[in-house]
Amino acid sequence: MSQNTASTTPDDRAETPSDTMVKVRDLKTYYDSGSLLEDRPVKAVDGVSFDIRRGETLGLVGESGCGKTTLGRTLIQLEEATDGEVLFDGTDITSLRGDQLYEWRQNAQMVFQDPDSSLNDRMTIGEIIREPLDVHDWKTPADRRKRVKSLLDEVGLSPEHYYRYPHQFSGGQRQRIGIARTLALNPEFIVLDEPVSALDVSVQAEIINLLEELQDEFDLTYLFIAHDLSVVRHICDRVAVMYLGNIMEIGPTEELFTDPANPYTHALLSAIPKPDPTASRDRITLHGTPPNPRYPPTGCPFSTRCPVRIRPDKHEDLDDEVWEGINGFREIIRERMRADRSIRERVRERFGLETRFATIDETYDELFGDTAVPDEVERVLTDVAEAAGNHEEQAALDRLNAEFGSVCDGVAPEGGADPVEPEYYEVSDSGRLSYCHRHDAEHRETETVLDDRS
Amino acid sequence: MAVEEESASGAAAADEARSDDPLIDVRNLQTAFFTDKETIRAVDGVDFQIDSGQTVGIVGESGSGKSVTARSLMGLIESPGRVLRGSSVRYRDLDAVREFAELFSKRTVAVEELAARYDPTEVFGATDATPAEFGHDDPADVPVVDVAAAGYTDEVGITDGDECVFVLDGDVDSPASIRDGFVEITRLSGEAQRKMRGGRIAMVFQDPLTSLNPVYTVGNQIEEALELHQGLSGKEATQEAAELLEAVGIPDARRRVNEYPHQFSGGMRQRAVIAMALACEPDMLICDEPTTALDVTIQAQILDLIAEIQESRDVAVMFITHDMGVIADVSDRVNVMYAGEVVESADVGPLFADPKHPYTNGLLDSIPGGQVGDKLSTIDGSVPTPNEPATHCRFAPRCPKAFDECESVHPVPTPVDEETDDHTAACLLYPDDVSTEEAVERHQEQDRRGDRQ
Repeated sequence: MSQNTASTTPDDRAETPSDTMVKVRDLKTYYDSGSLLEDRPVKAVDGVSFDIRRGETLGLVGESGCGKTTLGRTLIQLEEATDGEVLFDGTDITSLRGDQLYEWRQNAQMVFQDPDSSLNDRMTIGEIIREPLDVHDWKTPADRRKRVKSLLDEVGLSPEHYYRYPHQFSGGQRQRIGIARTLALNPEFIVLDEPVSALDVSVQAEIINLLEELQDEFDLTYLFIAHDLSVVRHICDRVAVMYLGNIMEIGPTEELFTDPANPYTHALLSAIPKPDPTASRDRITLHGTPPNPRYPPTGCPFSTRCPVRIRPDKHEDLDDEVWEGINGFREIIRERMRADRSIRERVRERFGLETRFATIDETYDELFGDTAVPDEVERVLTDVAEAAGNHEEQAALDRLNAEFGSVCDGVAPEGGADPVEPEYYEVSDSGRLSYCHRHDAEHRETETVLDDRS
Repeated sequence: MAVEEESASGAAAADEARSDDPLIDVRNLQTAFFTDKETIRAVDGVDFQIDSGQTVGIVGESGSGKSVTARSLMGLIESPGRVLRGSSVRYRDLDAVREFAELFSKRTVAVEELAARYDPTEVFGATDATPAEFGHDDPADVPVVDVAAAGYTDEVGITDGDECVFVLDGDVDSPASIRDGFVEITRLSGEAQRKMRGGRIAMVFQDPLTSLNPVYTVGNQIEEALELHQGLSGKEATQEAAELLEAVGIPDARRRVNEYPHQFSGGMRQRAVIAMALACEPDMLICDEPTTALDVTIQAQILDLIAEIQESRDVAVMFITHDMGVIADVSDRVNVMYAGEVVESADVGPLFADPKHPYTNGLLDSIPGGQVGDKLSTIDGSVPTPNEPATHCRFAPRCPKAFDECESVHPVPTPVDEETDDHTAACLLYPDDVSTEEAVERHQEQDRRGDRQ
């Protein structure tokens, strides 16, 4: 694995090849809560940069809530970008307005996940597929009807389905209708948002085959959003792995699947159950759930769950179990800080009565009860527990971070005041990028660490 | 946890008495839904067993009848659906039999006494029962217990439809002496039903939000289950609820008991539902697509948790999913369902290494991953809705290997070859070490499903 410390973002990489269709640069999509009191936005997409080449299928994978759907919707302007650029053949579409946007929309379409809710039950199949043609005033009504019939044929339905209603079709057929509608205006670029997730496996295979055929026939470029990694591996040329609004790793599919570089990719791939009972089960089970995108952790977005988070030098040899306990403890305090407190609880707190937050000691025992914690560490943890017990969660977290934090948590190695973030490192000759401190020559690689621990 | 120890020792005693018997024995289970328009035979003659401590997977596409099978076991079939006469689901845990015999003595029968009043010619004459469906030629050969459990004796007045505990060996009046018997799940109702459902068999559904009440705290809901099934209340129940949440891996459990379902994430909610299911210390856990709504990383957590629970509490698990990957991961034994029938049944290793039924093959082949870049193989057509009793192979119209007889002979689960007895396929191609003509003949002979409403 080559270890060139590349650039901070992928966009500074060598000249963009001429076959690039979509160029995304530092794109951010934030949702404001709209409340006067709460001004922290939800950072659904938090600064991503990548290219989509003409004719390729780029996969976008990640857990729910990681921002993959928002990213897909922002690319075709169904959501407004907060910051950054989306260049389609050189035009920044985030700045298009009115007629220009309306014109441009013909080029980019979307297939939705749930074929039950994305088709209007009161319209016939013909009307549904014809709608985009009507909206864009395409040729004459007779031409439109002809076009719809040829589209029906194209997606494996028959022209006599024109006058039927969606409820007369199965899930797979409905998805075909959705695809036909998408193709109506001859788009170049299609965002496929979980197009097969709601389908049975045998039907899923049919739709995947259809999508591949259509891509060949019409020179389509796909952004394929999915959480099912085996489907992605089958259909995509390149894959981007998202976590908490960031791209963690992006590169050619096979390479990424067989030799993942980022710890998150490692964990995600190992979690897929394989249809083979003899397969070894060296699953990396991640603890907890992704953090709230309104309150992302400082430093690396994956740091709160990362199985190979870098430890500060003086705790390098700490027992794994204690280390895990510390991580768990940190998560609990972080969560308590954000948990809603009812008025009743605030009042009880005020009068020193027992609340559901007052039981940190038991939680502490749960985590560290049966492990031998070194004295030095225990002293710090006791302080932390005390602060947390007094509802000074932020102080507790600061104390934890000062003692156990590392670059991953945003602690600058030279003691700088500003939190540091990971960089994109080029991890192979194909230009695959991974967003992780572990690729820095100073630290050991993810794989070595994982092997050591198992 | 005195209760747990007690039941554990009870179970050990039962093991000694009859270690060969399965915990759950499903025979010819048929569940149909009757509407004005049509009858849908969602489950149409399903047989399988689950041993205690074993995980049995049920896999199939939507509409194959896997969820209805689970619901039939839980007594959750609602009108216009019902479990048809002729079905039998036996719950054989000796502890449970004794408990039920004691609690419901009026609904307990000694099979010996039944036999005295039983006349095979009368029963088989007056009802639509056929000796063939019990695997015999002569009505006289059919054991009375099978006929009674399937519900045929009600019509001739030997039983009155209320009996649900059948004692094969031991004294009905002193339950402690019972050494053999079973609780017939399809005949449960009222209080006995409630004792079984939740108390002995617990279920985890796909969407945790449907099993949690949004207006009560999670702790409250677990405490309710504890009170109902274990008689705990107050501080004791709260303590136990927190312990259960902790046992299913919810961090900071003591704070979490006082939170509402909406304050939990999806994975946490499913853990809470599992904690609720465990509250009554069940012998069996039915998991109906418990991880389908979850992300892979969270799915991995829940699968680990279920495996862990099974190991530490020795429960039997019936795991329903459409995901072949999950099935391979969790199951000891797998039943593949198609259009209301079990088409293949085998231990997990042989099933994936050497699938026999063309449908199983089709399912496995259509999973992406095997053939990178190539066209995925598909199964043409879609799962039919079974409206009529099967007279032929329901998969035949979609089957790449179908031949003429597939349209006229109904295949029954048959060992795939003469040496194997725990790998069966309902396909006319098997057993594969005899000629096709002979195989077809065997299926014809064994087809025991009568035309029944």
